[in-house]
Amino acid sequence: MTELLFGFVSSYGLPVIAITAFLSCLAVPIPTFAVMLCGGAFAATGDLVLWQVMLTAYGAAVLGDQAGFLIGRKGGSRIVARLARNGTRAALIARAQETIHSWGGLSVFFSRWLVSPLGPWVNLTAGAARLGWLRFTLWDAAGEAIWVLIYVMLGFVFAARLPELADIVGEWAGLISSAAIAGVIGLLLIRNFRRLHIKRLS
Amino acid sequence: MLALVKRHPVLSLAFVAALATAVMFLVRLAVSLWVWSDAGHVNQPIEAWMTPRYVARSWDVPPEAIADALGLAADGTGRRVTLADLADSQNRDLQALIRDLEASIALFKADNDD
Repeated sequence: MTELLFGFVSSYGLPVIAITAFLSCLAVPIPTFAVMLCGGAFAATGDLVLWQVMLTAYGAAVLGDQAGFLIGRKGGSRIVARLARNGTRAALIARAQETIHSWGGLSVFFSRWLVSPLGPWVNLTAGAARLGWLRFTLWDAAGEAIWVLIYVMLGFVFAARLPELADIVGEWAGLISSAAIAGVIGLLLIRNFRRLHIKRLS
Repeated sequence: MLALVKRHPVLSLAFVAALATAVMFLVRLAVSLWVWSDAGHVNQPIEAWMTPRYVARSWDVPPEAIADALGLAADGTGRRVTLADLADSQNRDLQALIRDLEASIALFKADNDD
Protein backbone atom coordinates (compact mmCIF):
# COMPACT_ATOMS: atom_id res chain seq x y z
CA MET A 1 0.00 0.00 0.00
CA THR A 2 2.65 2.53 1.00
CA GLU A 3 4.84 1.58 -1.98
CA LEU A 4 1.89 2.19 -4.27
CA LEU A 5 1.60 5.67 -2.72
CA PHE A 6 5.33 6.28 -3.19
CA GLY A 7 4.87 5.43 -6.85
CA PHE A 8 1.96 7.88 -7.16
CA VAL A 9 4.00 10.65 -5.55
CA SER A 10 6.96 10.12 -7.86
CA SER A 11 4.78 9.89 -10.99
CA TYR A 12 2.28 12.68 -10.29
CA GLY A 13 4.02 14.79 -7.64
CA LEU A 14 2.31 17.73 -5.96
CA PRO A 15 -1.36 16.95 -6.86
CA VAL A 16 -1.06 13.61 -5.05
CA ILE A 17 0.32 15.39 -1.99
CA ALA A 18 -2.50 17.95 -2.08
CA ILE A 19 -5.28 15.38 -2.50
CA THR A 20 -4.07 13.05 0.28
CA ALA A 21 -3.43 15.92 2.72
CA PHE A 22 -6.94 17.27 2.06
CA LEU A 23 -8.75 13.91 2.29
CA SER A 24 -6.94 12.82 5.45
CA CYS A 25 -8.52 15.79 7.25
CA LEU A 26 -11.91 14.30 6.37
CA ALA A 27 -11.18 10.88 7.89
CA VAL A 28 -10.48 9.15 4.57
CA PRO A 29 -8.12 6.37 5.64
CA ILE A 30 -4.97 7.09 3.63
CA PRO A 31 -1.54 6.88 5.32
CA THR A 32 -0.89 10.56 4.67
CA PHE A 33 2.22 10.58 6.85
CA ALA A 34 3.82 8.21 4.31
CA VAL A 35 2.97 10.64 1.50
CA MET A 36 4.51 13.55 3.46
CA LEU A 37 7.68 11.58 4.19
CA CYS A 38 7.80 10.61 0.53
CA GLY A 39 7.38 14.23 -0.59
CA GLY A 40 10.33 15.18 1.62
CA ALA A 41 12.42 12.28 0.30
CA PHE A 42 11.76 13.14 -3.34
CA ALA A 43 12.62 16.76 -2.57
CA ALA A 44 15.97 15.54 -1.25
CA THR A 45 16.64 13.53 -4.41
CA GLY A 46 15.75 16.47 -6.65
CA ASP A 47 12.58 14.96 -8.08
CA LEU A 48 10.42 17.55 -6.29
CA VAL A 49 11.13 20.99 -4.80
CA LEU A 50 11.12 21.26 -1.00
CA TRP A 51 9.21 24.54 -0.55
CA GLN A 52 6.58 23.49 -3.07
CA VAL A 53 6.03 20.21 -1.23
CA MET A 54 5.66 22.04 2.09
CA LEU A 55 3.38 24.77 0.79
CA THR A 56 1.14 22.30 -1.06
CA ALA A 57 0.80 19.99 1.95
CA TYR A 58 0.18 22.90 4.30
CA GLY A 59 -2.44 24.61 2.15
CA ALA A 60 -4.32 21.39 1.45
CA ALA A 61 -4.30 20.32 5.10
CA VAL A 62 -5.62 23.68 6.35
CA LEU A 63 -8.35 23.64 3.67
CA GLY A 64 -9.28 20.06 4.57
CA ASP A 65 -9.59 20.97 8.25
CA GLN A 66 -11.84 23.89 7.35
CA ALA A 67 -14.06 21.52 5.36
CA GLY A 68 -14.27 19.10 8.29
CA PHE A 69 -15.06 21.92 10.71
CA LEU A 70 -17.83 23.23 8.43
CA ILE A 71 -19.36 19.76 8.04
CA GLY A 72 -19.37 19.41 11.83
CA ARG A 73 -20.94 22.83 12.28
CA LYS A 74 -23.62 22.38 9.59
CA GLY A 75 -24.55 18.74 10.24
CA GLY A 76 -23.40 18.17 13.78
CA SER A 77 -25.02 21.10 15.56
CA ARG A 78 -28.45 20.10 14.23
CA ILE A 79 -28.04 16.62 15.73
CA VAL A 80 -26.79 18.11 19.00
CA ALA A 81 -29.78 20.49 19.14
CA ARG A 82 -32.20 17.58 18.69
CA LEU A 83 -30.50 15.54 21.41
CA ALA A 84 -30.55 18.52 23.78
CA ARG A 85 -34.40 18.53 23.90
CA ASN A 86 -34.21 15.96 26.67
CA GLY A 87 -33.53 17.66 30.04
CA THR A 88 -30.77 15.51 31.59
CA ARG A 89 -29.18 15.01 28.22
CA ALA A 90 -29.13 18.77 27.70
CA ALA A 91 -27.13 19.12 30.93
CA LEU A 92 -24.64 16.50 29.78
CA ILE A 93 -24.28 18.11 26.37
CA ALA A 94 -23.78 21.51 27.97
CA ARG A 95 -21.00 20.05 30.07
CA ALA A 96 -19.37 18.36 27.06
CA GLN A 97 -19.47 21.63 25.18
CA GLU A 98 -17.97 23.43 28.14
CA THR A 99 -15.08 20.95 28.10
CA ILE A 100 -14.54 21.47 24.39
CA HIS A 101 -14.60 25.22 24.82
CA SER A 102 -11.99 25.19 27.60
CA TRP A 103 -9.76 22.50 26.01
CA GLY A 104 -10.76 22.90 22.37
CA GLY A 105 -7.81 25.01 21.24
CA LEU A 106 -5.22 22.66 22.68
CA SER A 107 -6.95 19.52 21.42
CA VAL A 108 -7.08 21.05 17.94
CA PHE A 109 -3.37 21.92 18.18
CA PHE A 110 -2.13 18.53 19.37
CA SER A 111 -4.41 16.50 17.10
CA ARG A 112 -2.73 18.17 14.11
CA TRP A 113 0.69 16.66 14.65
CA LEU A 114 1.13 14.66 17.87
CA VAL A 115 -2.00 12.48 17.68
CA SER A 116 -2.82 13.22 14.06
CA PRO A 117 -5.02 10.13 13.44
CA LEU A 118 -7.56 11.78 15.77
CA GLY A 119 -7.47 15.03 13.77
CA PRO A 120 -10.53 14.52 11.52
CA TRP A 121 -12.72 13.61 14.51
CA VAL A 122 -11.60 16.68 16.40
CA ASN A 123 -12.50 18.79 13.32
CA LEU A 124 -16.06 17.42 13.28
CA THR A 125 -16.50 17.70 17.05
CA ALA A 126 -15.12 21.23 17.18
CA GLY A 127 -17.54 22.27 14.45
CA ALA A 128 -20.52 20.56 16.07
CA ALA A 129 -19.70 22.02 19.51
CA ARG A 130 -19.49 25.50 17.96
CA LEU A 131 -15.91 26.20 18.88
CA GLY A 132 -15.15 29.69 17.58
CA TRP A 133 -14.02 29.69 13.95
CA LEU A 134 -11.08 32.03 14.48
CA ARG A 135 -9.90 30.07 17.51
CA PHE A 136 -10.14 26.81 15.57
CA THR A 137 -8.36 28.26 12.56
CA LEU A 138 -5.46 29.80 14.50
CA TRP A 139 -4.71 26.64 16.53
CA ASP A 140 -5.17 24.58 13.37
CA ALA A 141 -2.79 26.73 11.32
CA ALA A 142 -0.12 26.48 14.03
CA GLY A 143 -0.55 22.73 14.47
CA GLU A 144 -0.51 21.93 10.76
CA ALA A 145 2.68 23.96 10.31
CA ILE A 146 4.41 21.70 12.86
CA TRP A 147 2.95 18.59 11.21
CA VAL A 148 4.19 19.55 7.74
CA LEU A 149 7.61 20.60 9.04
CA ILE A 150 8.19 17.41 11.05
CA TYR A 151 7.03 14.91 8.46
CA VAL A 152 8.44 16.52 5.32
CA MET A 153 11.79 17.23 7.00
CA LEU A 154 12.05 13.66 8.34
CA GLY A 155 11.57 12.42 4.78
CA PHE A 156 14.07 14.97 3.48
CA VAL A 157 16.78 14.06 6.00
CA PHE A 158 16.37 10.27 5.87
CA ALA A 159 15.47 10.11 2.17
CA ALA A 160 17.74 7.16 1.41
CA ARG A 161 15.81 4.88 3.77
CA LEU A 162 12.23 5.91 3.02
CA PRO A 163 10.40 2.54 3.38
CA GLU A 164 11.95 1.78 6.78
CA LEU A 165 11.28 5.35 7.91
CA ALA A 166 7.61 5.06 6.90
CA ASP A 167 7.31 1.87 8.97
CA ILE A 168 8.77 3.53 12.05
CA VAL A 169 6.66 6.68 11.76
CA GLY A 170 3.50 4.64 11.16
CA GLU A 171 4.08 2.57 14.27
CA TRP A 172 4.88 5.67 16.31
CA ALA A 173 1.60 7.29 15.17
CA GLY A 174 -0.31 4.15 16.11
CA LEU A 175 1.35 3.97 19.51
CA ILE A 176 0.72 7.59 20.44
CA SER A 177 -2.91 7.51 19.25
CA SER A 178 -3.87 4.27 21.02
CA ALA A 179 -2.07 5.44 24.16
CA ALA A 180 -4.02 8.73 24.03
CA ILE A 181 -7.32 6.88 23.64
CA ALA A 182 -6.42 4.50 26.51
CA GLY A 183 -5.52 7.55 28.62
CA VAL A 184 -8.86 9.29 28.03
CA ILE A 185 -10.87 6.12 28.75
CA GLY A 186 -8.71 5.47 31.82
CA LEU A 187 -9.47 8.95 33.16
CA LEU A 188 -13.21 8.38 32.66
CA LEU A 189 -12.99 5.05 34.52
CA ILE A 190 -11.02 6.58 37.40
CA ARG A 191 -13.59 9.33 37.74
CA ASN A 192 -16.42 6.79 37.84
CA PHE A 193 -14.45 4.63 40.29
CA ARG A 194 -14.14 7.55 42.71
CA ARG A 195 -17.83 8.33 42.42
CA LEU A 196 -18.70 4.70 43.09
CA HIS A 197 -16.36 4.66 46.07
CA ILE A 198 -17.83 7.83 47.59
CA LYS A 199 -21.35 6.47 47.15
CA ARG A 200 -20.42 3.29 49.03
CA LEU A 201 -18.78 5.16 51.89
CA SER A 202 -21.75 7.42 52.48
CA MET B 1 -12.32 -2.71 40.82
CA LEU B 2 -14.57 -5.62 39.83
CA ALA B 3 -17.59 -3.47 40.65
CA LEU B 4 -16.30 -0.88 38.22
CA VAL B 5 -15.87 -3.46 35.45
CA LYS B 6 -19.41 -4.74 36.10
CA ARG B 7 -20.78 -1.22 36.04
CA HIS B 8 -18.97 -0.14 32.89
CA PRO B 9 -18.33 -3.31 30.86
CA VAL B 10 -18.07 -1.52 27.49
CA LEU B 11 -15.78 1.22 28.76
CA SER B 12 -13.57 -1.32 30.55
CA LEU B 13 -13.33 -3.46 27.44
CA ALA B 14 -12.49 -0.41 25.32
CA PHE B 15 -9.76 0.52 27.81
CA VAL B 16 -8.18 -2.95 27.66
CA ALA B 17 -8.43 -2.96 23.84
CA ALA B 18 -6.77 0.46 23.54
CA LEU B 19 -4.04 -0.57 25.95
CA ALA B 20 -3.41 -3.83 24.09
CA THR B 21 -3.21 -1.91 20.79
CA ALA B 22 -0.71 0.49 22.33
CA VAL B 23 1.46 -2.41 23.54
CA MET B 24 1.33 -4.02 20.09
CA PHE B 25 2.49 -0.77 18.45
CA LEU B 26 5.20 -0.38 21.07
CA VAL B 27 6.61 -3.82 20.26
CA ARG B 28 6.45 -3.19 16.51
CA LEU B 29 8.09 0.19 16.94
CA ALA B 30 10.89 -1.35 19.01
CA VAL B 31 11.49 -4.00 16.33
CA SER B 32 11.54 -1.39 13.54
CA LEU B 33 13.96 0.82 15.47
CA TRP B 34 16.20 -2.17 16.12
CA VAL B 35 16.19 -3.06 12.42
CA TRP B 36 16.91 0.58 11.57
CA SER B 37 19.95 0.84 13.82
CA ASP B 38 21.17 -2.67 13.02
CA ALA B 39 21.04 -2.32 9.24
CA GLY B 40 23.54 0.54 9.26
CA HIS B 41 23.82 1.78 5.71
CA VAL B 42 22.91 -1.32 3.83
CA ASN B 43 21.76 -0.44 0.34
CA GLN B 44 18.06 -0.87 -0.28
CA PRO B 45 16.85 -3.33 -2.89
CA ILE B 46 15.84 -1.37 -5.98
CA GLU B 47 12.05 -1.23 -6.31
CA ALA B 48 9.53 -0.32 -8.99
CA TRP B 49 8.38 2.90 -7.24
CA MET B 50 11.86 4.41 -7.03
CA THR B 51 12.97 7.19 -9.35
CA PRO B 52 16.44 7.15 -10.94
CA ARG B 53 17.52 9.95 -8.59
CA TYR B 54 16.14 8.05 -5.60
CA VAL B 55 18.29 5.04 -6.54
CA ALA B 56 21.29 7.37 -6.86
CA ARG B 57 20.61 8.72 -3.38
CA SER B 58 20.04 5.43 -1.63
CA TRP B 59 23.03 3.72 -3.30
CA ASP B 60 25.25 6.77 -2.88
CA VAL B 61 26.08 7.05 -6.56
CA PRO B 62 26.02 10.32 -8.58
CA PRO B 63 22.65 10.77 -10.37
CA GLU B 64 24.53 11.14 -13.67
CA ALA B 65 25.88 7.61 -13.38
CA ILE B 66 22.37 6.24 -12.89
CA ALA B 67 21.02 8.34 -15.77
CA ASP B 68 23.82 6.99 -17.98
CA ALA B 69 23.07 3.41 -17.01
CA LEU B 70 19.36 3.89 -17.81
CA GLY B 71 20.08 5.64 -21.11
CA LEU B 72 18.57 8.94 -19.98
CA ALA B 73 19.66 12.28 -21.41
CA ALA B 74 21.13 14.74 -18.91
CA ASP B 75 18.36 17.27 -19.62
CA GLY B 76 16.18 16.64 -16.61
CA THR B 77 14.17 13.78 -18.10
CA GLY B 78 14.15 11.02 -15.56
CA ARG B 79 12.94 13.30 -12.81
CA ARG B 80 9.60 12.28 -11.30
CA VAL B 81 9.58 9.04 -13.27
CA THR B 82 9.42 5.68 -11.52
CA LEU B 83 11.52 2.78 -12.75
CA ALA B 84 8.23 1.02 -13.60
CA ASP B 85 7.19 3.92 -15.89
CA LEU B 86 10.66 4.00 -17.38
CA ALA B 87 10.61 0.28 -18.19
CA ASP B 88 7.19 0.79 -19.80
CA SER B 89 8.34 3.66 -21.98
CA GLN B 90 11.47 1.77 -23.06
CA ASN B 91 9.45 -1.41 -23.70
CA ARG B 92 11.62 -3.36 -21.30
CA ASP B 93 10.93 -5.83 -18.57
CA LEU B 94 11.12 -4.11 -15.18
CA GLN B 95 13.07 -6.91 -13.51
CA ALA B 96 15.59 -6.92 -16.33
CA LEU B 97 15.97 -3.15 -16.02
CA ILE B 98 16.57 -3.45 -12.27
CA ARG B 99 19.11 -6.26 -12.76
CA ASP B 100 21.00 -4.21 -15.36
CA LEU B 101 20.92 -1.17 -13.12
CA GLU B 102 22.34 -3.15 -10.20
CA ALA B 103 25.11 -4.43 -12.44
CA SER B 104 25.91 -0.89 -13.62
CA ILE B 105 26.03 0.36 -10.04
CA ALA B 106 28.35 -2.47 -9.01
CA LEU B 107 30.60 -1.66 -11.99
CA PHE B 108 30.61 2.05 -11.14
CA LYS B 109 31.49 1.34 -7.49
CA ALA B 110 34.28 -1.06 -8.50
CA ASP B 111 35.73 1.55 -10.87
CA ASN B 112 35.65 4.26 -8.26
CA ASP B 113 37.12 2.21 -5.45
CA ASP B 114 40.49 1.94 -7.15
